[in-house]
Amino acid sequence: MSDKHELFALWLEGRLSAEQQQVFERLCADDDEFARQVSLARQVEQAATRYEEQPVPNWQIPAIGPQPVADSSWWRGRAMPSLSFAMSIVALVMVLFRVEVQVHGGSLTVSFAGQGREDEIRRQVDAEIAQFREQQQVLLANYSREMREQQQDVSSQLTSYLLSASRTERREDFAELIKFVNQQREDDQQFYARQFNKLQQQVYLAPETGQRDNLSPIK
Amino acid sequence: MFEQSDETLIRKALKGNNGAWQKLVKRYDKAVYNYGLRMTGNADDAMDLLQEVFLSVFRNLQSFRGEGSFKAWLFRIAHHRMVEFYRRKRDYQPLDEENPLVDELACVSRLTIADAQSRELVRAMQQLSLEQKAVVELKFFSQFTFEEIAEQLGVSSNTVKSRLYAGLGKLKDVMEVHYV
Repeated sequence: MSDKHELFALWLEGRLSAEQQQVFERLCADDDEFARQVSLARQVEQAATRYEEQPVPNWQIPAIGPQPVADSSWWRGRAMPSLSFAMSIVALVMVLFRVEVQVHGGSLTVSFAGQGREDEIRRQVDAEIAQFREQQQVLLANYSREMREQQQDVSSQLTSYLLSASRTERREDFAELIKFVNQQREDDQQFYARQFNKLQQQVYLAPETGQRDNLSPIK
Repeated sequence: MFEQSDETLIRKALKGNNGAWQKLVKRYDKAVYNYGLRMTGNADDAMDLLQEVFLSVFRNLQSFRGEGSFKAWLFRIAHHRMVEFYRRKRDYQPLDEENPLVDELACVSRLTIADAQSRELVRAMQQLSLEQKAVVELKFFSQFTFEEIAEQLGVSSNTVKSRLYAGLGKLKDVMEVHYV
């Protein structure tokens, strides 16, 4: 704030000292702008003095009832400020020393300098690791069980395949054998048929020639 | 003859004496109403402000500790209600120097101020920002000291002096333009 404002304010309140009065008058003479401000301030003062206050229209003033009197008991007058101050100090100390109060599993823990937070983090990490370990164990157990079941399935399928394959081969071998035996029998029958036919021809021919005794053996 | 002091009336009012309360209100309602008239330039707004101010006084009387004069406390409340009034009127406008609250809607011509110079001054005051207008009003019309005004407005007395000086400068411009 400039000296002019201060001088102007002192003049308005009529508190100029003799020395300040001289400076003020010199300023009024030398500084037109300041002189105009002073002149206007005088006009405003006059106008404010001449201002006739307007009457207040009729209005309903609210009725007042008994007010609660301020409690002047000792604890409010003396103890409360002291208590407030003490609580402020406690709060300040708690902030400065980073005091943390935690309630966990029914136990109350007070820690300083963020130790409680580190413990909390460690506890949470341990819990997460334990949970992860349990999950992995369950997954491994499930995996091994599935592998075992899969192996059993494959083994039973292989066994049934082997059984069915050997049965089929045996059936085919027997069929081949029977076919061979039947073929052999057919060949034998044809051989014996030819022998009989030859013998029959010799028998029919023998009475005619009288040479029954000279029948040649069947070949 | 024997006029009861403000403190006596307040003490009685706090005990539920309605007569003391009415006296207290009647002692200051004219000053508050005219403060509202000069600040808003409108009789209806001044009446609304009067009722709001005394309603606040009614609610907060027990918190008055008597550390300063009752009149200064009353006008501090009046100033707060005035700021709220302007905020309501303009929805919201920041109370800084770049965006001064100037009541362009004020209708001073409807006021029945007999003295032409006073009427002209009140009209010109409506062109000032709320801060400047409040300082001019409290200094010249309500006759408070700079220290009291500073306490009421919640600023330093140097700020009050600067605002008054600047306010008078603007007032001069407005009045010169009007006369030209």
